[in-house]
Amino acid sequence: MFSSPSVFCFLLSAFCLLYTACSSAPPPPVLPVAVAQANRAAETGRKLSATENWSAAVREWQNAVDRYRLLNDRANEAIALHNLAQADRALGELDRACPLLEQAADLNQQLGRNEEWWRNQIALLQVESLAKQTAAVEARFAKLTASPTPDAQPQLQGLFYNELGQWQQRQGDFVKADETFRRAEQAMTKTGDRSGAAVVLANRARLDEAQHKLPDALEKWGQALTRFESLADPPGIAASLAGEGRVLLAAGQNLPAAETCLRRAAENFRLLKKNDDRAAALRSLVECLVAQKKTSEANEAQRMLEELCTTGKAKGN
Amino acid sequence: MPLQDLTPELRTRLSHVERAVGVFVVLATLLLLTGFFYYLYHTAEAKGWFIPKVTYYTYLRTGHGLKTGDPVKLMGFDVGTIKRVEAMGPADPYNVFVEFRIKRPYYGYLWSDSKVQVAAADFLGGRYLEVTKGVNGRSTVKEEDGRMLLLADAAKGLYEPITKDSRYELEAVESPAVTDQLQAMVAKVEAAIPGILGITNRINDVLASANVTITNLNVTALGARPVLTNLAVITSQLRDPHGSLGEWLIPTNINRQVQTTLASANTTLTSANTTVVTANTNLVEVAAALKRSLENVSQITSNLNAQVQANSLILGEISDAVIHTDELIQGLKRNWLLKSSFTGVTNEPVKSIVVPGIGGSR
Repeated sequence: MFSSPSVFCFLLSAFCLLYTACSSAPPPPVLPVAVAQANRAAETGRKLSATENWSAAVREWQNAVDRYRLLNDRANEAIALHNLAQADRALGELDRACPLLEQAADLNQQLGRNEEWWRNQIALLQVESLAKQTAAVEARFAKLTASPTPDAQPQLQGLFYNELGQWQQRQGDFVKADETFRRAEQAMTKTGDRSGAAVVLANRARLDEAQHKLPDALEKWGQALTRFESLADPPGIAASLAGEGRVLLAAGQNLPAAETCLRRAAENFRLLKKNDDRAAALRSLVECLVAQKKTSEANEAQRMLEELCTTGKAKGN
Repeated sequence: MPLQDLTPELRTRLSHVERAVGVFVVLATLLLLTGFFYYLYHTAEAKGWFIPKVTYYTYLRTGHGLKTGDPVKLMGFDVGTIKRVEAMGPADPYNVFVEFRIKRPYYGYLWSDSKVQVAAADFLGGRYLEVTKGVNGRSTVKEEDGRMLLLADAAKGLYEPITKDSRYELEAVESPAVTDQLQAMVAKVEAAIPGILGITNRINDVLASANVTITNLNVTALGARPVLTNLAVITSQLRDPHGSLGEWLIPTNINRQVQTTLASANTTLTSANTTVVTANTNLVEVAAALKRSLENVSQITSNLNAQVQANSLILGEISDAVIHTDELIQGLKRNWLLKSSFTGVTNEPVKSIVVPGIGGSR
């Protein structure tokens, strides 16, 4: 008699508790259609950029820019402008990319978004370097080195030092370049950016190569190749193979291995449609084959090189 | 031990314990009753016991596939249930009486010109009632001052308060049963067959005409044989040097060639005759095969039509099932117990893309 109501009470309390707790949460708020469309365009652009479908990416990023502009969402508009410029850069439209990045930088400066502004500046450095606008690059480096570096963002520091190191190397200041690359590598390692660290290592190998420190360069290219292989990064693998082949050729040791590396690099650059890098690899391959007295193969490689140069000129025209 | 044998202190203490137990039992009972009534109320609300309903009825030819408790639909929604399906008397002009109740607010859609449609519900002969929205008539139910009034005279627009026995008649539009439809289809096919047979008869006529033509050609060829014979006689006479043009005009070799040619022409004509006869036979067979194919096609289309007629609502129901399943899953995704199972990977916010560059082509 006593226990029966207790059991009932317990069951009833449990039922009430479960019933209250099991009630469903309300559905999440629905984004306005215009915002959803703009976000969808940006997301599609991101995916297209990730798959290197650049012409489609340009269209989607332009769409995202227009939509964010209509919404007066200047922060996202700046991001879309930046990524549109990167897609243009990948298509070789450097003249279009520069103004877009400037626009993005202006917007970010107005909004006080310092990190994004730094990203814009680094992208501008890369584009201007590609366009061989030496004066513009020099002026930008002068402006950026005078500005406070983004200490809270080691990744941005790494990116900036990587560009600065390459600039110093081009200027022939190898000691400063080495120091800058070290700082870049430290910053990349600190953020756990394995891909960035591998790129900086490749640039350090290139610096050693420029200073004729061939054993060091060979070791670094080998390490870079291993890292790029583990990251499954085709451009990095091709660059490392080419670097290793060049160093072996310059050292005059193990020419068959150098030939293999250069052949593979040239073929990879062909697949990646990087004609300048492919031409450089073919040039080294011709030298390597001549050094091995493989005349017919050297002639064949020379013919491919000339064909590539002719095609490049025709396209340039 | 009797209670009187206890000491006063023990009696007082026992009395307190009994009071406490009594209070606890009363409280527990109250809680139980509260829970039960809450459950009852919630069930009643969920099942729509508190929702006002209006009773309608209609007469049908057959009650096949309809049963009490089946839902009544309006524009695809379940808006009520069938309450009664009864056979009418033997002398009554109507066969089956069907009474159903429509709940608020859907009876507002039912006007005096609304109809009750009976449609096939599944493959097993099930049917359901679907009431149609009114267009030009008067509303069958009106609510005034908290009272519900039912249309009593549509022409005059008179309404009467709804009582327990009030009900409104809606006209039924009963589509024939699937078997009837099939039968009608078979009848149509039967009616169409003479046309098809007419076509085949015409083909037969054409073939017969062709046969006659070929026979005439054969006769012509046979008639040409004496001509050929005469030609042979003429040539033999021509070959004779006496009384004719002589061998100098038609040399021996040309004469032989003419003979050979004529013989070949005769052989060719005979072959052509044989070919035409064979073609005639083949055409007759082809026509017969064509007739069989047409009959099969006719059967297939009639079967297809019957299937489509019987399953006209299946696509809508599949669509409903998909929508309801989606709603169920969306609900489960928000449930406190299950939502952790559905936490998918969300897209990270889009950022400005900058990648470090390897020196080289610059």
